[in-house]
Amino acid sequence: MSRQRSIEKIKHAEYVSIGELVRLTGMRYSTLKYYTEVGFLPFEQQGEKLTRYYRREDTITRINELKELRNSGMSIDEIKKIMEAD
Amino acid sequence: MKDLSIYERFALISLNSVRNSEQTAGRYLKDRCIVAAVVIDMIFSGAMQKPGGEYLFAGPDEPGLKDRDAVFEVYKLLKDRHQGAAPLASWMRAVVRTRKKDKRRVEETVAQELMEAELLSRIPALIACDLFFSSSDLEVTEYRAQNEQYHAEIEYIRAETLDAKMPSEEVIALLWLFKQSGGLTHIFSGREYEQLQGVLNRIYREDPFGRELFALTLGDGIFRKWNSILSFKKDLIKSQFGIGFVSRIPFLQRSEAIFIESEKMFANAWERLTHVVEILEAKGHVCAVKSEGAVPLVEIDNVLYELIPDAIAMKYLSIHGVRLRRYLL
Repeated sequence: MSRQRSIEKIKHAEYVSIGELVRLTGMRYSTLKYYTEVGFLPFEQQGEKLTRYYRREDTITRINELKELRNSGMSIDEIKKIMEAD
Repeated sequence: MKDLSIYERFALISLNSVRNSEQTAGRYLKDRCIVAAVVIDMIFSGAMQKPGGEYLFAGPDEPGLKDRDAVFEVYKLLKDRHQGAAPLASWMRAVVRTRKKDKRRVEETVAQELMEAELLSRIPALIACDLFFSSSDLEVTEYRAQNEQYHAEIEYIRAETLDAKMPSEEVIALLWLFKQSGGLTHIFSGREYEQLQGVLNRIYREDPFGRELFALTLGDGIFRKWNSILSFKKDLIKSQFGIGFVSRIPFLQRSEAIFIESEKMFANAWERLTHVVEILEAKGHVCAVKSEGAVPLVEIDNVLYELIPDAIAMKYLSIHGVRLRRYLL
């Protein structure tokens, strides 16, 4: 039984769940899930079916980079190549 | 995204696109669920306490009671229903038995709180843009939720439900409320229902608060049956077959077959789309074009529609325009 964390607590937390990332970034859950599955957003998970946790600062930086690349008109495949080169 | 209480989040999502003149079974059920949401919020905030497994009000001087109008309104409605503590089921039965106009007053109080926070607004209803409504000069208004907060709340519920091992108590309460009001279709697509059912079953098995809540219902048998018949009709209309059917026979579900006159014929789809969006925005609706083409996809007041070129044959001429058809996820 757990209560959700307030926005203030999430903003100072080291790790956040995907739902909390939704609240912080305003992005769709489906988009964040897709970015996770293609490997853009690294996460930590204690067991196979347990909640995934993301390092807050690194993940938000990565999401902002992805937003800029998408806004510049790049496709997901092109972004993948850039990420792999890094 | 702002931190909202349970009842504010539920009301924000369920009142979006609800017409003020609507007196349907679904609207009464939503009002009932809004009052129940306030009761759950009082449990979370400590305004209702749980000594020995049953719930009672903390007392009239409890800070959580008087600083929000909706909470105080529900406290006044329910405080004399039980002497001392009672099970949650009894409090929810008391919610069901409150008068319709009292429940409507709570809904209006919650809506007013959201409007003061600029998260909800009252705008001319989309159906008022329909050719037959606008030409008859009917004034119909509806609620519209603030776009970012509306989508953020829905996406958060989806993320917590479909991705986390066990959702938080707030999300469990919201899932129960949307299930009771028939609003899960606002949040989850048809493809996700099987996964959602698995999550609801797991909540019932593993979470004590979820088990207590999911054992309750908020309607009497006849009312729920009638609402489920109407929901079935509305869901059928929203299926691939129903959408085509109602676009030919609009009176079956008027709200799903709105026809907007385009006032003239256009050389291409882009000009037609621009013109229709201008008409809608001039009437106070917020439009976001998602895709263009012969049948563009537009989000109007947080709901996705396809704009299908259509014409209504009158006695001497045809009236050209577009028919709004709700887009299925």
